[in-house]
Formats: sequence, structure tokens, C-alpha cells
Amino acid sequence: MNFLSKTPARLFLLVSALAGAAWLASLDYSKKISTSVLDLIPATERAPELAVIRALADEKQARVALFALRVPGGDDNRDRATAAFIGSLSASGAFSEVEAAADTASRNALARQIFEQRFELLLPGWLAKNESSDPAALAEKTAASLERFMGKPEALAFADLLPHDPLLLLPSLVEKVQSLDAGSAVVPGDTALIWTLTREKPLAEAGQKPVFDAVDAALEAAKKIAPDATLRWTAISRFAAESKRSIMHELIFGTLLTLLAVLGVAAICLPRIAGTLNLAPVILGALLGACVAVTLCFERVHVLVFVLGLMLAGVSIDYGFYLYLQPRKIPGEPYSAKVRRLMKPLLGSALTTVLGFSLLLFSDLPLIRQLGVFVSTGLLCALVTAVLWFAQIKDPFMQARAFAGIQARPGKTARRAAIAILALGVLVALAGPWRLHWRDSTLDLQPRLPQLTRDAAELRAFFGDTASRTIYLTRGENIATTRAALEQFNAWHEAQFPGAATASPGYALPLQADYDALPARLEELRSFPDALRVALDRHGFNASEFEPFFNAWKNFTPARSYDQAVSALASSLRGQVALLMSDAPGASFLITAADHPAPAVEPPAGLSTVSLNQIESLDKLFGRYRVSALRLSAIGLGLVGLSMWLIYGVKRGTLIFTTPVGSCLFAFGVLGLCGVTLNLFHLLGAFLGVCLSHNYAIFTAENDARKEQPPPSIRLSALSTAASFGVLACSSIPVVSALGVTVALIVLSALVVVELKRAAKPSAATCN
Amino acid sequence: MARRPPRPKKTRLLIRMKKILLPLFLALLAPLHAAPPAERGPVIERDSAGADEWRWLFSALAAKGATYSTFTENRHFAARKNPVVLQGEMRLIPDTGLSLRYTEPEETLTVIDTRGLLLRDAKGRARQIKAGTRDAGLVTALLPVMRFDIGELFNQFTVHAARDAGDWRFDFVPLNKKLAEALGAIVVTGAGTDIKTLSFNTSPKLRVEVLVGETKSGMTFTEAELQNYFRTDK
Repeated sequence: MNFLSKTPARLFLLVSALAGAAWLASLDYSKKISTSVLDLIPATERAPELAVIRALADEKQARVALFALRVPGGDDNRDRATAAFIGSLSASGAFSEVEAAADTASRNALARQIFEQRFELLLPGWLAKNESSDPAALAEKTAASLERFMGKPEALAFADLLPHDPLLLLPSLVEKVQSLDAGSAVVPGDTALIWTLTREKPLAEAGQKPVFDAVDAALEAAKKIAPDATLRWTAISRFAAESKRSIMHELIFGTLLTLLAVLGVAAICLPRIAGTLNLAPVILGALLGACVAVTLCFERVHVLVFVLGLMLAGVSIDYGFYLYLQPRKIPGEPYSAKVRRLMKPLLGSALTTVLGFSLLLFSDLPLIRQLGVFVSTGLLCALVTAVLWFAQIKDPFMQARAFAGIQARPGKTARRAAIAILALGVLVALAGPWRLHWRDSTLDLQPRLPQLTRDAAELRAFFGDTASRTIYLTRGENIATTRAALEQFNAWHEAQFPGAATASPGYALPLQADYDALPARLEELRSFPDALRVALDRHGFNASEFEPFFNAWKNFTPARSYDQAVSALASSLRGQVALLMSDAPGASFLITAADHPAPAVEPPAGLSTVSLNQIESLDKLFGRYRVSALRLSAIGLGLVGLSMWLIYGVKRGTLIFTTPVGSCLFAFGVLGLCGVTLNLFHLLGAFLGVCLSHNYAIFTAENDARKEQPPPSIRLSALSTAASFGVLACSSIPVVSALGVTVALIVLSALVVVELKRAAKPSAATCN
Repeated sequence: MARRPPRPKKTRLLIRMKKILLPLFLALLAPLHAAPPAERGPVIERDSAGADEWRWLFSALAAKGATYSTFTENRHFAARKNPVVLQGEMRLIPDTGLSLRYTEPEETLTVIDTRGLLLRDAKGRARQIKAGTRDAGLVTALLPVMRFDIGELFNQFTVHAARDAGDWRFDFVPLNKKLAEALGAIVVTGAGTDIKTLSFNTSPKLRVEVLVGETKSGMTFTEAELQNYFRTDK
């Protein structure tokens, strides 16, 4: 059966389209499509920061929502409106915890709990520090320290506590952790800060709409008291909802805009609109095939693949142009003969691109693998659709408008100008790439939401999370190993940032070894209370005032296990402080705040500690993926170059190869000279651009070999590709924009190179 | 708030004269009496006739502007047989804040301003406590007292006043109940237009008494002093 005749071609197209549409209609998109950044990273990835993110994504930390309610008109007005706001949020059912930031109840509760457990939690460390002292020496040292302490400003705040704690266990802890308390951002007097925890996870629908409704209702309640009240708030759910909305907006409008741009280029260069519409099935076939393939191959597909996949519109139309606009060799040449004649360059350009993109299937990143399948199958489907579509229409040829094929007038001046421009391009290609900087961040994978981001930064600063402070997260299999890791991290931190204050709830926990040594040590210190009474008296104290301490010491027996002691503290945590530690087996962590801006140096991997900065951006992890993608791209390029040699021989193949590679270097040169910081997606874009611009070099070489005018399809193809990637370049998602800018730049550069190379050839005159 | 009707011209003249003469009178009487009133005086209400009698003293104390004093602080802890004695220098810039530089028994700095409390030790290690927190509340309550800003004082305290010739005594009881429970009253005594002592409880277990020494008013602090003894970063 000849597939290049009308009926079989039409039947095949129809059946394929129906089957594809049926498959897509049968999918459960809520399960199939993911919008989570975490789904962009391999499930098997064991990078510590990612393990932390995965753990936190399901934990309380992700459910925090911060509010700043501004109520002009005096403290009383502010307090009443704030109470109404808090009452409404609490009653909504969407929030599990709501507390005013000024409310110190949760911190007081923590302080009370640590006080109750001071011998269990703080005494082991104190004893370990004073291990070598005998009871009398220790008593003398204790009394002397207490005397010194009473001359310090802090003593004013602890006067009530000292009779219970002459060892200064709590004052020492408070001195260490105090920096957790002091946010450096000044909160306006008319603004009340409210900290909350939503009941549901922020990425789930239940964690979004009900929360937003509750916030609206709470603001209304506040406005009933203070009509001028205004609210700013931040939560992951807000970002997630806005991000989803923005991506869907891009998908819908991006698709329409890309189709309009691509078909617009065709409509300008082709004489008949009806003829232009003959190119649309090629695009639709490519998109349908790509969507079917990627949803068939992967259990979950990230929505970014579809946004990036819009480029297929501009890429796939190429095959339509090459087949539709290629003139007949002889009048009345049958379509099948034309296809056979064009099969070599068509397959050459399609298969090199497909080959290159198939290599992406070996990438570590699911997104890149999905993109590889999407583009490869999309291009193959575009080629098959184009070949079959034009087989079943009456007139499979259209002459482009004259201006689409116009050539520069040959001459010395034109030749010199072309050589000069090419030389300038070479200069940019050689010099510019040295100025490139690379940085990857997961933040670039999401739409830019400047207002929400600004609000979030300001609100977080109000709550103490400022740029002048670095937050570290130490994790471990259990709380004992986490606490041990924190001790090692502290040693590293002190060496790296001498004198910089750090604060962590972990300081309230003993090391397990110290805790286990406690009973024996207490036994050694049996005479300590009597010795302390004498020492206190000697240092001018009324020893009888310290009876509360002596009674507590006498009654204390370390009966609980380490885990039980820590658990008693952890389970008493409420509100904000509850987010600072977890003793859950397998996912224990401790937060440490350090009084310095985020450093360039991350803690060594052995310390099980990462900075929040690293957690937020994952730049180290993505940097690793970029190197892996670079390796794959290099192999891909090598294979593409090799295939050129195999198809066109070494000399011609190399000449063809120089056009896309040179254009790529030129594009990197331009980006480098403009000071753009590149990321993984610039690299992917470059690879895609090189694969695509091969087509122009191949078709130009084919025509040059036949001493024919280059067909207008090359220009149309380059322009439509540039148009579709131009749409992507305008995306609000930084990585999509990066890919769009890179490919558009390479494709346009390749087109200019092809034109200039022709103009620069001494034989150019003979072609005309 | 409703504006008070303008006073008759004669009254205004009298007030102006009292404004000049009363501080002078108090200053002259000061050396004659060494002891301030031992008991708390009656409450004076804002804008009452009784308040007018004291307004001149408040104004004179507030008009001193930036001041520098030496001081001795006696901390009477219940747990100690004798008070802990600290010595240092006090700097006050009404619009900026109050700086207490302790020189004995060890070098530390406490800065009290509208942002809260800053504690800095001899090694330069600093700790901040935000205004509005309980820990800061105890000490930051001193700021309006040291400024003698009438409006602020009546907004935050019930004011008791007593006088014995040139000696006087103010008891400032915080209107905030929690603060009042913790602090009791801030008692300020003086003679003429000089503050002599400040005392307050920080808890039932501690009473702090500050004896103000040599005082220089109308000071202009150098840039280095501002940097060293106040919080100049915004």
C-alpha cells in the first residue's frame, strides 16, 4: 500500500488523530500533571538539602501563613481590630493555630518547660563542661560565677529565678538563644503581626481556597472595627495558587500567541490564507503526538513541559515549509517523487534533532527527560503528519511571495560587508563566552511574582527572617544524632565566622553521651549541695534563699530515657517555636539562626547541615544537574556532528556543522557581553538551537550543491521558529524565558550566518 | 482632644514669671535640704491645677537636653547580704535614647531607645531585645522618665509628686498592669533641677537604686561618643 496516496494517508491521519485525542481525553489530569517544583527533581535524589525540602514540604513549616494588619488610629483601635481578625481566622476552621506575634505565650510556655526540665536538659552539659572539678571546687566556681553574673545587666531579668538556678543554667541558655528573638526590621507602630498555621497543606486545593476565603472574612471583621485597616500576608499557598494561575494563563495565551505568531509569519510570506492553513495540521499533529507520547511514557508530567513544548509550534512547521514550498523539480513532478527527493535533507534534519533530544532521556532530571520525549516525538510526528497531509491534498505546492526569496545583489561591496559582519560575529563568539556566569535556582522554575515576593520578604523580615541573618537546618536520623551534628556544625561555624552569634533550640538539648553520664556524675557530686551552701555564704549570699534549688537537686533522679526527655520538651512546643525543631524518627531536625548574611561557603556535607538559602534555591544541586546536562549535550552534539560526516562526508559535514555551532557560540557571546547570568535552561536552549539551526545549514548546502537558489522555506522556517521562541522569551517563568531567548538568538543568528556565508562566497554570483 | 481656651494675659505673664523664678528658687533651696520626701506624694492629674504646680519642674528637667552623669547603682538582691555595687556613666539624648555605660565591676553598655534594648559587653558582643517584649519593658519604661516628657509620662504612668522645700520626689506607677506588678513604681528624687536618685523594683527579689553623681547638662556629644554609646544604625 502506498501511504503517499490520498486515501491511506487521510485514513492514517484520521485514525491517529482520533486515537490520540481519545487517549488524552481519558487522562485524569489532576493526577497526571504536576505543578510542584519537587517533581522536577528525581525521586531517588539523595542530596541532603532536597531530603530536607521533601520532609518540610509535608511538615508544619509549609503551612505557615504570616500576616501584617495595619490599623491606623491608635493602639486601642489596632488591638481591637487585631482581636477581631484573629477571632475570625480561628473560627474559620481553615487555620489550626493563630497567634499575635506580640503574644509571648508560646515562648513563655517553652521557657516554663525548660525550667521544669532544667536538670534533665541543661545539667548534663553543665556537668560535662565542669567534668574535672571536685564538688568543693565546683561549688566555689559556681558561687563565684553567680556573684559575677549579678553585676551584669541581664541579672535584672533573672532575680526571681536565681534562687532556683544558682548554676545559671537558664540564664546561660537565654544568653545564647536571645538572638533568635531580635528581628532587625522595624515594625510600624500601627501594624500588628499575626502568625498562623493552616490546617491543610498549601499545595492541596483544601489548603488554598478555604484559606483565602477565611482571610477575606477576617479582614472584613477587622474593617468593621477599623474601616481603614489594610492587610498584607504571605503563605506558600498564595504562591502556589498564583503560580498555577500564571502557568495556566501562559499555557492558554501562549498557545494562541504561538500559533498566531507562527501562522502569521506564514501568512505574510505566502500568497493565500487557505494555503497557510495547510500548515496548521502539521503543528497540531506535532503537539498531539508529543502530548500523547509524554503522557504515555511518564506517570506524572510537569506542567512546565507543556509550556516549554509550545516551541514545537515553531519547530514542527519547518517540515511543512520544506515540503510545501519546495518547487517541483520538473513540471508535473508527482508528490511521491518530491518526497523521495527531499527525504535525505528532511530525515537528516529531523533525525539529527531527534537523536540529540533522545540523549536527554539519559538526564538525571525528570523535566529534561520529559522534554526530550516531548520534542523528539513531536518532531517525528510533525514530519510524518507533514508528509501524509500534503499527500492527501490536491495541490501540495505553494509558491512563496517574491520577497521571501529575494537575494542580495552580488558584488564586491556586499561581499566585503558580509565578511566584515561575519568577522565581527566570530569576534563576539570568541570573546563573549568567557564573560559568562552560571547560576541555577529552583526559584527560576516558577513564574515571577514580584508583588508577592516583595511582600513575603518584608513580612518575613518583620518576623525576624532578614538578609542579615542566615538560617541553617541540621538534620539526622534521630534527635540524638541531630544534636551531635549540631555540635559539630557549631564548631565549624565558630571557625568560619568567629564571634558571630548563633541560636538554636538544640542548645536546650544535651548530647546523648552527656545525658547518659548524668547518673554517675550526680553520684560523684553527692556532697556538692553542702559545699555550695558554704561557698555561697563565703561569697556574700544568703544561702537559705537558694533552698528551692537545693530541694530540686535532692529530689531529682534522671529516670527517663534521652528520647523521652527530649520528647517531653518537643511535645510542649507551640506556635512559632514548634517549627524550630522536630524529634520525629527519620526526620529530626534543628534550626539554627546565625547572625551574619548568607555566606558563599556552605557547611561540609558531613555536618548534615544546610543553609535555608541553599534549600530555597537548590543552586548547588541544580549546578550538578547542569554539568550533567552539559555532558549529555556535548555527547549529543558530537553525535549530530558525526551524523553530518556520515551523511555529507567530512568536509561538507564539517562546513554544515560550523553554522549551528558558530551561531550557538555567537549567542553565548552576546549573552556574555550583556552580562546575563545563565542557567541550565540556557544550556538546553543552546542544544535545541544547534539542533534546529542544522536544518537551515543542511537545506542551504543541498541547494548550493544543486546550484539552486536557496528555497524561501529556510527563511520562513527560521522566522517562525524565532517567533515561537520569541513568545517563550516573554514568559514570566525565568527558565522558559531563558530557553526562548537562547533558541531565538541562535536560530536568527544561524539564518543570518547562512545568508552572509552565501553573500561572502566569491561564487555567489554564479548562483544568481 | 478639645483645645483649652487661651489664658488671660495677666495669667500668662504670671506663668512666665513662675517659669523663670521657680527653677531658680528650687535651685537656691537645694543645698539647704539633703533628704527628699520619704513618702509617696499625692497623685497629680494631667491638666489639673496640681499638675500646673509641677509643670515647671518637668519643663526645667526636660529642658536640660542632652546630659552626662556619673552614677552608682546598688542592686539589692534578696539572695545577697549586701548590695551589688556597679558604677558607670549615664548619657541621655532625649530624642535618641538613654545610654548606661557600666565601668565597674565590668565594662558593659546598655542602650535604651524606642527600638528596645541593646546590651553590649566588653568584647563588643551585642544582644538586642525588641521594644514591647517583657524583658525590654522593665527597662525601656525608664526612657520617658529620664526624658521628663510630660505628655508621654501621663500617657504611661500614674504620677505621684511630693516636695519638701527644694527636694522633691516623683513616683511613676506604670498604667500597664503587668509592668506595674513587675516594676512597682519608678521613684525619682532630686533637689532643685538635679536628679539625685532613681529606684525601682525589677521583681520582689530585687530593688535597684541609682545614685546620680556629677551631672553636666546641655551636652553636645561627639560623633565618636554617639557611635560608641548609642545605637546610630537605623
